[in-house]
Amino acid sequence: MTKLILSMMLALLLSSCSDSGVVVGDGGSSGTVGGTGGSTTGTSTTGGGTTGGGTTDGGTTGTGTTGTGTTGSSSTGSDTTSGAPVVENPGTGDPITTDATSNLDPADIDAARFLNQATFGATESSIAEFKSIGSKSAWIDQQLQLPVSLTLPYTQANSNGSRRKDRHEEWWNNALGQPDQLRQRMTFALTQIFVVSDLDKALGQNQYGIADYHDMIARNAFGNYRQLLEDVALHPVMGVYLSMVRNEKANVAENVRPDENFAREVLQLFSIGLFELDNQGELVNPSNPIPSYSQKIIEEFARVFTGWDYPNSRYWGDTNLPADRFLGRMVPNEEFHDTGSKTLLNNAVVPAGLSTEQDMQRALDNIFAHNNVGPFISKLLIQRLTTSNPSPAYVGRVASVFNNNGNGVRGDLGAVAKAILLDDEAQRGVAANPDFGKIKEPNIKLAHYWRALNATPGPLAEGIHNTADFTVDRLDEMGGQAVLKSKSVFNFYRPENQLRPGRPLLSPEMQNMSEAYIASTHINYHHMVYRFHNRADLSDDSPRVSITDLEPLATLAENPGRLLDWYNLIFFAGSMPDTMRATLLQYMSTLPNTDAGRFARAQDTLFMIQVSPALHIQR
Amino acid sequence: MRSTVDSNRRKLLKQLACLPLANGVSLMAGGQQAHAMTCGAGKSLVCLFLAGGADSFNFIVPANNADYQTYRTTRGDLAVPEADLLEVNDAAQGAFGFNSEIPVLQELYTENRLAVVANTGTLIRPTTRADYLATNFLPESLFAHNTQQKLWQTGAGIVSGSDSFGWGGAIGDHAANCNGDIAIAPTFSIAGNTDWLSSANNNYISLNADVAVERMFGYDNVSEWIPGSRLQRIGPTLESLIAQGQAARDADMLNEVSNAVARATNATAELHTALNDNPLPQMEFDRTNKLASQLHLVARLIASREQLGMNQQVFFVLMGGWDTHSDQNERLPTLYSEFNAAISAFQFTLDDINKSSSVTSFTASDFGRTLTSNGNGTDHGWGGHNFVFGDAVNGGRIIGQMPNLGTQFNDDDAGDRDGNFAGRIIPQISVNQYAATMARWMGVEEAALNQALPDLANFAQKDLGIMRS
Repeated sequence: MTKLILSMMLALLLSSCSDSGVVVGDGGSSGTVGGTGGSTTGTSTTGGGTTGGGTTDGGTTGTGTTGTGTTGSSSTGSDTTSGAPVVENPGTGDPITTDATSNLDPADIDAARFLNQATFGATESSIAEFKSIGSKSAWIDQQLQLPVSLTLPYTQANSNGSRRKDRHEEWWNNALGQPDQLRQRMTFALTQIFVVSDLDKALGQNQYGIADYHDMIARNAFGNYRQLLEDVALHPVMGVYLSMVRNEKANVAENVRPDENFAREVLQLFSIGLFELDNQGELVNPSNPIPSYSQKIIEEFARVFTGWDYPNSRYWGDTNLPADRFLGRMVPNEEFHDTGSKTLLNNAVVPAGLSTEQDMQRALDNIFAHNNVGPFISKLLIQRLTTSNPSPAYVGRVASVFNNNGNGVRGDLGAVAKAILLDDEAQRGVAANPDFGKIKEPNIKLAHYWRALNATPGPLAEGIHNTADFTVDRLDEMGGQAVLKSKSVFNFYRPENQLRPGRPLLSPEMQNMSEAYIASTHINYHHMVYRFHNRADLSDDSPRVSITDLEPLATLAENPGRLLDWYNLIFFAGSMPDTMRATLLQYMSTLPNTDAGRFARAQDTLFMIQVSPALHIQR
Repeated sequence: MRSTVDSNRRKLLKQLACLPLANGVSLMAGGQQAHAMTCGAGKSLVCLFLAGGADSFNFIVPANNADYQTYRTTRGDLAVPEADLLEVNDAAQGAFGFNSEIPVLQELYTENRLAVVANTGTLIRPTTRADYLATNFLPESLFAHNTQQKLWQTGAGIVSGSDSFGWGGAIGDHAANCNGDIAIAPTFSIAGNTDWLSSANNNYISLNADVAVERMFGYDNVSEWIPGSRLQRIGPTLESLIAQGQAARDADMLNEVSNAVARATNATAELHTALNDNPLPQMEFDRTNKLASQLHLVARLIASREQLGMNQQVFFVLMGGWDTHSDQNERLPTLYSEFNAAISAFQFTLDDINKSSSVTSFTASDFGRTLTSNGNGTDHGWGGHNFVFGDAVNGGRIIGQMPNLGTQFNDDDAGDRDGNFAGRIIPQISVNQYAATMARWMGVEEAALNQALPDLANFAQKDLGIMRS
């Protein structure tokens, strides 16, 4: 019944589409889309507010660029003149493909699907490279060996320390262009577990520190979880963010006791979670979950985590600290450390009289040994890379690799990454688990858009990528995500966020599919697709927005089916719905097979695909 | 900018929204049934969530000498100096002082349109120190941010096994029925995702105060950059892509994303005109004040209430930064001053547009903080004070009993078995009682209220008597 009504409605919609194709050309006759004169952009008299200009309070590029243009007001439209019935002209001898289904090589689809899980989005060249390597396993092994792309050197060379954008810009350069894609993708996932944020007032002003923290995670991304946990715990940026730096032993007379902040979050968020789990990440006793720690245990850990100072601090309380106080590792100061015995997880006792460093090592070993760590961390990483709702068995298989990489090593994150990506469930997707898949993260969608279309920084951007409406350090205002810039230690979204309230399926990323973020993202893609492409006249526009190359798409658009095949492979890894294909084929049939018409086909379909619901889903 | 396609598109979207979804839930904002209920004149309810756990024991402080000295001894360096208190009186409990950095609280209190709700928090049933020590019926994962936020916002005592619907969502369901057959939901978050407004029946609208609400280009013939003849076809094509996504089978995520995109196109199209018509420039505030920016948008939506055809509205705003584990004495003054400026500007704007008697605002937070210090900050506590204001509030009073703030023999303290003082105060008023009082003011029927707040049955006092009426 539903289906019947819907198909009737669709038929109605489609017919109204083709009717409107016979509109008389609305104006000039000489313009070609873009061509040389940039007529595609037309005017921009929509006013600053439409792009968020004036609302992103002074963000650099993009904002404020709209509303300035006054030219070319009606050179548009001519390109699509009089949508007379389109007769394709196979001048190239290439047969016109308007097949209802796409015709893609299964090997290409498999490669694209894998690369969408393991990198910042498949591209023609990355698919070709993958196929030349031959297997996923070999591709991963090669990735594990690549040198680490960093953000600190660039940040130090360009930012005065308090300017934020440089760190973000270098992250984007790495995500878009550097070969260590899997490491960067894994690092991005780990930064969403071991969270610190620009939005902390003290940290936001110390970008060298955040860049160093980011790079520390990148170095450890294929290393051991135990080392990563230690480097996180003792990084001065984490010391500030969760207030462990200069945490001191109790002073009973003054009602002063140790700070519980890091102690609580390291257990809840970075290692074991709130409740006892089995090796598949399921609650041990679902009807009455067993807390994995008590308030008392947090207080004991808080006592362990006393006595740590900034690197190069001359004395406890020194306020005249050098600029590099946020780099490297905190240092112990025994005078402020609580040396009493402490009872930690699983009733393990750390004896009295140990040093600050010894207590730290014992406590981290204690956490690392807890049975929850493998399933807890594995599931979080699975959710970032492949699926929001892994089967318990999938979590269990990855957790087992976390517990033992095959060589008796616990916590090997490189092995964990490989296990996540090579798991049968990851490879077969919905065929293995009907709930397989996830909503793409905003940064990954944008990176894919730029990578797939060979985006180059704007002519005056000095090698820096930026969107039309938001600089890359402010993308959180567009879609709720920017690197190490979440609103709290609970990240951009919660791992247990329900796809729909009251229903079992989870979708962390759905938490950011708000009206505001959907609208801002939609408008931004509109501006990028229609104003910042290779044929656009940029003289009136912001010269700092990244420019995409739509020419290859326009060439493909002679043959609309081919163009859709390309989109289907690159952006959908073969999962573009047939109904979507039919709708876009129909749309393209209203545009002539002229240079301008082909460019319009490419541009309009690219826009509609980027803002379509279907694009959001990675399966 | 308005196009003739507009009204046709609205009809179409409504038709699409009326199609049953794969999971059987309609997208309609409300108005399916028009049964008897209390709607009355227009009303708006505003939840001000102080995220991170606000140290509300420093918002209002006992001012008679003995009690102040107890407070001072317990809090040490973190105590508000006696000279910095703005004194007020409660008929039953005597002298108190509002923190002088938040003078608007005192101002509204003395105008009898702000009430203090003392020592409120997550509770399953009335809970004593003995109950705490025996872990009898304690809310789940006490002292953890996300869990306690969730329990505050859902009114539940446990996370696992309970639904995730908020009591704001239950009020929203009532509001949707009062609003009748209009195209948009009555519930708005200006602070992103929140459990408080979550409902099985209605999706709340989530707006960003920092970005103007604009039409989504490509729909409704709106775009200066897409040539007209193409634009005319792009809008319907985009809509058919949404409809396909909504109807797709075995594709729960695609269904939900499509519904979200449909809601976004609908909400931005519906709201942008009304918001443009109600800029409320008389509300002056510093643009860097996030809470004030959010409340400005709320005020504009309240000013638009009748224009939007709404009878009731429910709003969620959020101010972060309250998790003051360190440098509390440096961090709090900034937070106080932003909070004060935002509340002042908002309430006086409502006065200016004659809405103050139909708008009630209240605070909430993850938890109160420890009375004790960790050196230069405080840790996660439990009970805390809250504030309800607006002309419908029977104010100038403290509702509930101010807790004992002493370190010795304190039955309000969730300390350990050895009798050590923890400085975490056991709440005396339940979130359920607080929630029920707000919901009843909005006219929510008792049955719906009991369903939304099942633990309310465990408390003798079902209404805190905060509101006039």
